[in-house]
Formats: sequence, structure tokens, C-alpha cells
Amino acid sequence: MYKKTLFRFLALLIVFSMLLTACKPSTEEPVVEPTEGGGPVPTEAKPVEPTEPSETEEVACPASTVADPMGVPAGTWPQQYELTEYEELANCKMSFSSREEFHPDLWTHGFLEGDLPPLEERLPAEPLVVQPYDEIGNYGGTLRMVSIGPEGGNSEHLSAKHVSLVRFSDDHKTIVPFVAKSYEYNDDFTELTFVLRKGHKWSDGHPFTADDILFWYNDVILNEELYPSTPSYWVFGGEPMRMEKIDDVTIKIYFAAPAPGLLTFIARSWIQTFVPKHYFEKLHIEYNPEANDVAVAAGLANWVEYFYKFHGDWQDSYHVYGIPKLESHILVDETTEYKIHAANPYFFIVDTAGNQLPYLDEQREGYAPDKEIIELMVISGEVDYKSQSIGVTSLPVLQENTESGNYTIQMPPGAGAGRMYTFNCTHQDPVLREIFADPRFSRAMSLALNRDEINQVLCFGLCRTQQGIPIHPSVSFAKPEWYLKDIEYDPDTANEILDEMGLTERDADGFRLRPDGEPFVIYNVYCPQAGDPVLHELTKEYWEDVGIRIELKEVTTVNYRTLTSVNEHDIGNFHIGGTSEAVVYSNPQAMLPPFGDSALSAMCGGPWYDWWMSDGASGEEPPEQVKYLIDLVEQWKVTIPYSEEYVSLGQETGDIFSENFWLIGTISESPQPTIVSNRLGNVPEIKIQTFDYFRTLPYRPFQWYIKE
Amino acid sequence: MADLGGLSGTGTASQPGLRGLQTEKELKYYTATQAQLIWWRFKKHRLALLGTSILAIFLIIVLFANFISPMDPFTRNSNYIFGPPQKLHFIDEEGTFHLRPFVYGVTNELDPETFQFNTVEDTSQAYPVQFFIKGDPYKLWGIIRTDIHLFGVEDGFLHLLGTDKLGRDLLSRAFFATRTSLTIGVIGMLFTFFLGLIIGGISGFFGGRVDDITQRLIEFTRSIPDLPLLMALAASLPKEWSPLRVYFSITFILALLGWTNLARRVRSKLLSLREADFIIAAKIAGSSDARIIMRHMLPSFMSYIIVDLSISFPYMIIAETSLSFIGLGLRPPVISWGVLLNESQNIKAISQHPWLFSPVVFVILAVLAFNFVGDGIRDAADPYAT
Repeated sequence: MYKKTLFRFLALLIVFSMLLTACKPSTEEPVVEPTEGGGPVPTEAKPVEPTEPSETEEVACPASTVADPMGVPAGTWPQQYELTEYEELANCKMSFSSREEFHPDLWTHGFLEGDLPPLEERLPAEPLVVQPYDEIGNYGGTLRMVSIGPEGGNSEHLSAKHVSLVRFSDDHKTIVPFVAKSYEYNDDFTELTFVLRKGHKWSDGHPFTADDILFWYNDVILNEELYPSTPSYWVFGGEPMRMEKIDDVTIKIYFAAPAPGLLTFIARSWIQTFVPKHYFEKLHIEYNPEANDVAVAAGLANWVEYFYKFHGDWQDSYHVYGIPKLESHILVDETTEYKIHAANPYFFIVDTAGNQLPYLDEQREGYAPDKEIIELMVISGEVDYKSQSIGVTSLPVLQENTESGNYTIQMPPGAGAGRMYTFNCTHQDPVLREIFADPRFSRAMSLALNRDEINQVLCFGLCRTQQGIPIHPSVSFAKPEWYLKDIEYDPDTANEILDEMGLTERDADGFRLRPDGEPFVIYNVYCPQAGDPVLHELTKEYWEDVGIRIELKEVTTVNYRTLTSVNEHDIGNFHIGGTSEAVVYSNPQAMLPPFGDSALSAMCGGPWYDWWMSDGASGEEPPEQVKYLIDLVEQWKVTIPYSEEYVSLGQETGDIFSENFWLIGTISESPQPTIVSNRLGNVPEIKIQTFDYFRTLPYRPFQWYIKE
Repeated sequence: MADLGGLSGTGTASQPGLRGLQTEKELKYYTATQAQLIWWRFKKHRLALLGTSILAIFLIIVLFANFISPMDPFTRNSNYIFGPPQKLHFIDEEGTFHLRPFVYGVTNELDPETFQFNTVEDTSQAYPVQFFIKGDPYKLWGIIRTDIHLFGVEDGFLHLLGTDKLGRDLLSRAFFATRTSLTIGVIGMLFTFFLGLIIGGISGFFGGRVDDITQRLIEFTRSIPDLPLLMALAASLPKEWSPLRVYFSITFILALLGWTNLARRVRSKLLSLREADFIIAAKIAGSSDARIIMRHMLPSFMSYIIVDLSISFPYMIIAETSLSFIGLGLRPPVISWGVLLNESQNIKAISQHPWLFSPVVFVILAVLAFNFVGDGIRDAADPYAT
């Protein structure tokens, strides 16, 4: 017995070492452990038998999972294989199977006609083989999700059926093939090649080829009527990228400047970089000279309007049945209260046992206009997966009802920059500007904050107290000291610094006066959308304790944005979105003036931004250091990710932020409570809950299933 | 025969000087002034009396909010966040009765698993409630600097209505909210009331040209749309004003716009009264205009106005929060009933912290008291009615 185990292990080791030399590097997947190679083998799958090569042709493939690889070594990419790769590694021959019946509305809504062809013809010749997380699922069931409204707060639902050429693996680092079979950059990142899957088909059975990608780019994105200016995502070195078809399954993209960020963008974006040419050419003026007449007949002004009825970057902007998709689930029913998507009979992924995915028959997105109603739905067990709109403060209620609602709460971190304050360093009042632009003032204000108490009150102590840096601590080049600088609660030192700055005179109530003897009042105007207003009540008290008078005023988001976009605010306090590696790298907005999500929610430095955008025609010339920062970030954007230059430039950027205190951090974005129904299988531990990596996509929702 | 206000005679003593009047009580009744009659009648209305005493208590709260609150409404007790109301005890563990009530020390700790606060009473630590005790310093009416509070405990803490999300004492906050909501609400309401009464009164009494001009003025005022005006105000009010000041000026401006309805009603009532026999009689008797209005006309439709007033009071409280969406209402850190109730409007408060609703009791009491008193005054205002 022992001998056999040893023998098996050795054989596996040989296969594995051959593999290591044969395939590309860079996989994070743990090496197969010897005990697992000889471990117990489930009855339905035969073990790997390298000793008898003659029989391998007939051996069915082992139903390996991430939890139990059953001796199948890791492939080129974590948790997934190409068909031939899997057959070789497992030394088996895969046979395919699928669900018996598909949703009848796929026929009534005009996708399909007559009988479906056999499964072998529906799958690509080279299907993607994925290892389910825990077990081979069973077909059936509905994934019940809920969002605030059509196209509102529903990115997690969109992500659960999303497909793209490549996607992020659940390590949030490795970019793995998805619709594309493989990708390759040239050495200086000026060319990117995608190879597609032979025999891949749209949900109506029509072949999906390189032409569909070319059509998307050349005839949609570059069409000046559809997109009057090319979206910045596709522009590198000032020029739109260029795309060339090599053959039916190969496409090559050329850039005017190194574009190492494009692959990252495609992997994390909600945009699908292909459209079904055979469907859209009827609507496109260059392919159908009568496209305008078709549009007018449909009651619209011209072909562009009509085209947009069926197409949009945001993947639920269409409300029309019958558009061919590559997604796992296809829209079959839409009302004002819900949407139902049914399994795509032509989906290109199979599990390790050869079952065509997805397991889920349907995905249902219901609408609930109110966060409280969403909470109630969760509590009563009407929701299978939810994290958007659920905050830490809902935890006591949600935790109390886990049994009655039959769900588990996961607490992955978010990836935002957390709650931050900025005193307007480009204030219109010269006296205030001088005070606010002085890093000593921000440092004093930072030391005056009792972050531990903030953490307790707002976050049950679950957040991380930190200084304000627009780079998430999980980013590869992040320096720990950035986040720890001056975050201790030290009102005495804060008072000393303020005295040292000359703010020594005080009024009858003990509040400091401005150097010119005027009352010194700072208006903290805020909107509830930027986060729990309790934070402002707390910071008001901390800052008043060191003699800085604060007045609070609540306004609507629009009012707040008006104020900041015309540089009339004293304090910027809107949240800063994505700061995780993929986002800072492909779109480092928060690192540049006005240090916010966009010019709309400026923190400070609006006039600098105007100066920079208008090449000096309007706005104000920023100080040398800010100009240097702008150059630095521009330089950094085209470096190769994780390279030495990337790290050193990125670190220099962070250092500049650390010195200048443009942002005063409080607590990091809180953990994102994620509700996962206990009836949902193959959902792993969510490691980061964020739109930055498109929500659920790294956790492969196409292999989730309903256990009952 | 009119109801004699509980004075109908049972006595037998006769008064020879006054023909037909049997008793001293009857005599008293017929010689009483109108004010006395109103008061006698009002006293009979038990609910109105109850309402009056409640309003009296509210008045004390309004005047002495700092003093009767056990602590400053912004003092955070970080050891007792979302703390439930503490129980007042008279009998200790050993069953001994104490005349002076006491509370036990309480710990309130967050359970890291369930995210619920576990509240445990520590019966070894008893804190007797003491009166006129030193606490958070304050300035009474902005003048007298002191730190004496009506009641409180030494060393420990006393939260009779529990605490909110920042560990602030809800009872103290409710007292301060009462002060804000009642003063601002009532002042705004009274201002509307007097404007409507005076302008409507002038218009209806004099009629003719005066009436024409006043009516056109009313039509002009009514044609000004509220919402755009308020939004323009929201943008134009000096930003350094505190939310309280903004709200006060808004109620003032609302009053300047809102008097028209009442003025119209007063006018039409007066127009019809003007022709009544008793008014003509008063005119012939040589009464001045002011006397006729104040003495004869107003009392005869007082009941109607009082109903109007007591009904408009709850609207004032609702308006307080509804204005906030254009940045004009009361928002934290101002403490008002609306602000406190807003904080309790969620599932969490219902299922986990029901004591956050306790300020509702204040609102209900105030609204009921105003209605009872209004009801009583309305009945009493016309003491000759059957």
C-alpha cells in the first residue's frame, strides 16, 4: 500500500516538473501536496493512472476541485485549464454533458429557433475548464439578488454574469484568460495579442470571431457619431490604439506608447470589448445604408439613437430581448419590479467533470428602493447574495437573524480610501488659504482626532485607523509608515503646533482667532451620501477641543459638488473611490489635483487642476511640488507594473502625499458585510469586496450553484 | 338658562336687593366679568386642566433645560454607547428599602461576534440619585455660569432614557430638543397667527377700499411659489449662520408668507359679523372700532381660531424635518424633536435600541396638551353657550 502511494507520488512529481518547464511562469497556485496525490479518491471519478498509457483515452476526467485537486496538478493559470491542458495533466478524456432543458423564453424572445444542436456543437472546440471551489454543482435554481433600481446599485448583479476577454483571478493579482484563450504583450508593452477560442458561439449560435472585436472597436468605439471623442480608456500616448485581425481567432492591438495598464483595465472593467457584428450591422449606417430609415420607423431620430437602444458600455443599459451575448445568463424577462436572466445554452465554460456551466438556471434581480427594505429582505431570507448597500452599522440586525434568514455573513475589506478630510489648500480667502496650505495645520488637525473612538462609534472597531493616502495599503509598493504617520490622539501637541503657527489669540468662548483678529470659523458642509454624518459631529468636537471652531451644515450631494467644483468650500470630505492597485495603476485620479474622485468632488487644488487641464490658460499655477507630482504620476502611469521603476516612482508619489497632508485620514473604508445564503454552493471566502475588481467576478459566479 | 358653570344654586339664602336672583352663587355668576366666566368654565374641563399642567411642565423644561438635564446633551459617555435606560431602584439586593432611589453601575460591552451590546448591571456598585449636584458646566440663559444640575449621581452615570449612538444622554437631549422645537415652533406659529389675525381683521372690518387693497396683497403673496423661494433663500442666506439661526429665519419668512389663509378666513367671518345686530348695536352705542373688534367680534369667533392654532401646531413639528432636504431644516448638531426622531427611524432602532423612540412621548404629550388646552379654551371662550 505504502509503495503504491509512493509510486503515485513520484509519477505525479515527474508530470508536474515536466509541466513546470513547459508552461509559463507566474502562478500563485500552491504546489500539489504529496498527501493529496495519494489521498482518498471519490468513487465517481477514476484516479490518475499514469502506469497504463494505453487506457488513458477512455478514462473519464477526475472531477477535481480547488478544495480537492484529486492529484491534478495546477495548470498555467490558477483554478482553470484549457481543455487539452487538463486532459494532459489529468491523463484523461473529457466527455461533456449539459442540462436537459433551457428556459423556454429563450425561444419566445427570438434568440433561438427549433431544436438546440448537440452540446459538442454548442461548446467551443476549446472550452475553458474551471475547477469548482468545493464540489461539482447540480443544475437548477435561481440566484436571487436585489438592487436599488434598474441600473442603480446593481454592479454586483452585473458582475455575476459578466464576461470579458480576461479577468482577475481571486488572488486579485493574476490576470487569467476568460473569453480569450490567451494573451501576450510584447516586451515593451506596445503590442497586445489576444487569441480566441475556436468554435466559440454567441448565445444565438452564431460564431464569435475576431471580427466581432474589430467591429466593436473600429465601427463602434472609433465611430465619430457613436462616440464623438474616443473614450480615454482606449487612448495611449495621445492616440487611439490600433487593432488588427491576424486570423479568425487572433487579434493584435498596437499602442503609440507603452500601455501596460490596458490588460488590467479590460480585466477589471464592466465594459465588454466585443459586440455581435451579425446583429449590430443591420443597425449600423456603414453596413446598412437604410439604418436611418429603420430607426425612424422605430420612432427614433436617427440610427445612432437606435443603436444605443441595444448597446451601451454599462451592461444593462439595454432593455431589449434577443441581443446575442457571451454572458452566462441572458435576459429573458424584464418588468419594473425585477429582471430574470436564464442560462446561456452556448456558454463556453465547463467544469472539470465536463458539465457545461453555469449551474444556475436563472439569475433574478429584484428592485428595492430603500436600504432598509433590502435589509428586511435579507433578514427574511429572500436574498442569496448581497453586499452593495449593506453597511457595518447594519451588522447587529443582520447577525441576529442569520438563522432565520439562512445566510452567512462574510466580512471582506473594501478597497476604498476611507473617510478623509481636506482643508481647502486653494481657498479663495488669502488668510484661510495660508493657514490651510500649511502642512503644520493639517498635522495639528490630524493629531486632534481620536481615531480609536471614531472607529468604535462608526465601525464597531472593525476599521483600520489610518492617515490619508490615496493608495490602498494592499498596493504592492505601499509603505506602512504612510498610514501610521501622526494618527495618534495627541491634542496637546496639536495645541502647541497651532500656537506655534501664531493662532494664539482666542475669543470669549475660547476659540482661536485668525491672525488678522477676525473670528476663525470653518464650515464643514457635507452631504449624507459621502458617509455617516456622525463622523462630522465627532470631528467638530475634537477640533473645537483644540480651539478651532467648526460649523456643520448638511446639504444635498448636488449642492456639495457645486460648492467644491467652484472652489468655495472650506473642507473637502467626499469619499475617494478605488485606490486598489488595479485602479491606481490604470487610472490614478486621486493622486492628482484636486485629489478626489473627479473634478466634481474636489478635495483641494481645483484651480491647479484647471491650470493643468487648460495648459496654463485658466486656473492658478500650482506650486513647484504639485507640478512635480503631476509629472511623476504621468511618468509612473507608463511604467511596467511591479517593475523597479514602478515601485520607486509610486513610492515617491506616496511620500509627497505623506509630507504635504493634502488628505487627513480617519478610518479606512470599513469591512463590507457580504451576505451569502447558505443554500449557495461554491462561494469561497471573499477577499476584497470592491467594484475595483468588478465585485464577484474573481470568485467565478458561473460555478456557483444552489445546493437544494 | 345658561349653564352656570357649576354654580347653579342649591342654597336658600335670598338677596332682597336683587329681584329674581335666588342665591349668592347666582349673584356671583351674573356679576362676574367675562374673564372670570371663562376661567370657571375652563376649570370644569378636566382634560384642559391636565393639558395646561403638561404645558406648564414643558414651559419649565424650556426655561430651565440646562438645569434639569442631568448632563450636557453633547457629553459622550464612550463606556455606554447605545446604552439602554437605567432602572431606578428603591429596594437593594438585600431587600432593604431606600427612600433615596439609586441606580446600579452598568457595563455595556460590544460582543465582537454578534455586534450587539451586552448590558450587565453590577449590583455591588450603587449610585444614589442626588439633587443639586455638580456636573457639566453651562450658562443658564447665556448669563449665569454654573455647574449645578437638578439631579444626578456622583462618580457613576445616570441615563434614565438610555443613550444614543455616541453615548449621549437621551433624557438631556430630549429636554434640549423640547426647548428648540417648542420655542422656534411656537414663535413661528404665533407670528403667523397674529399677522393673519390683524391683517384679516382690518380687511374684514373696514371693507371697501382697504379690503380691496388687502385682498390684492393676499393674492400677490399667495402667488409666490414656496419651494423655489425657499431654495433661493437656501442659497442666499449667509453661510456662516448656524442651522438654528437659518431655521429661525426660515420660519419667520414662512410666517410672512403663510398668514394669508388665516387672514382670508378671519376677513370673511368679520364681513358677516359686521352686519350682525349686536355689532350694529355696539356701533350705535358709540363703541370705538378697536373695542368692537376686540370686545365683540374676536370673542365670537375665537373658538374657530383656537382650533386652527391647535391643529397647526403638529404641522410645525413635521415641517421642521421636511425642510431639511433643501438644507434649511434642523440637522445635527442642533437638537430638536425632529432630529432625535430622524435618528430612530430605522430597523436597527426598532429591533435593538427601542429607547431611541422615547422622545416620541414628548411630542405626543405636547401635541395632546395643545389640543386639550385648545379644546378647553374653545369651550370656555364662549361661556354663554349652552
